[in-house]
Amino acid sequence: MYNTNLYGHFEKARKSLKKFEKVDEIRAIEESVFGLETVKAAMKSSENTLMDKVKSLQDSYNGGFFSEEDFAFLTDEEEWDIMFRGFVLYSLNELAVTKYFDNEKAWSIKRIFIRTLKEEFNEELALQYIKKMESFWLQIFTWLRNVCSYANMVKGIVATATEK
Amino acid sequence: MGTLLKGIRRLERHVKKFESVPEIEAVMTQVLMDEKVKEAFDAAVENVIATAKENMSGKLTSKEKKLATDKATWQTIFKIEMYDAMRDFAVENYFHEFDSWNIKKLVVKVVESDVTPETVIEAIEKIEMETIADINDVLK
Repeated sequence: MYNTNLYGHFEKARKSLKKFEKVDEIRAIEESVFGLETVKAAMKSSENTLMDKVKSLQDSYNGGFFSEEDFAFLTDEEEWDIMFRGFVLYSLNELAVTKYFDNEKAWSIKRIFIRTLKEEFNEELALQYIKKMESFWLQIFTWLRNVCSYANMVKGIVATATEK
Repeated sequence: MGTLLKGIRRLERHVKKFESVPEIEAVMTQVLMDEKVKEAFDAAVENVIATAKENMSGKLTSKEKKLATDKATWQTIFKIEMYDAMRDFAVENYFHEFDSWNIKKLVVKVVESDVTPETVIEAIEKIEMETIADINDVLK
């Protein structure tokens, strides 16, 4: 893979999800929002957009943009489910820490996170974070494509110069 | 500018919260005593005050003007921005790695493993740039 950090993002999302879902109260609220038809549809639509982007990158480089293993990973719906849910929770965690940390004497992330979920997490915010995540990944894929085009251009220039 | 006063009170609460943890206070006191850090800190505060003076409009009350050019206030603001940056870094980098949900533990981890005079100077410079941009936005 051109940018090994891609796996880092997935790994972080997986760890976030695992940690958050350990807490029953968090899992219940999270499942209720992610169970909403609009949220499910938005997540599916964003995932499809990203997987289409991965496929189109792969096609435009005749199957050579991603390695076979990376391509399989990046077109696996379950992996993207984890990515989206993990990162929505992670974004909420950032909101909790930034917004409520000062007002609480406690240093517990769990406490301010549950408060944030109860007070802030709803359909609208979930949809907003899903869109944000889609745009974050589209930027990464655009960046990768640009890096690749540049690398190919350099290779072309070197080949031409060598021939001369 | 009412938000500035409100913000400062928030920041003061914030500083107290961080400095009430002995491990954090010990490392930060030591780092802030470093000559290069002191220099960077003072220069940043002076630059920010100079920017505030240049951009101050007639919209501000005299109390607010005094506050916007007060060295001690800006020192508090800078300190808390540093703590905030450390807290965000702790949550960003260590939250997933530890079973703990305790911000204090994560910040102590950051203080022990990532805070050095160099990283603090880097943070001060970043805060300086962001603060100057904010002042330009708010006071112009």
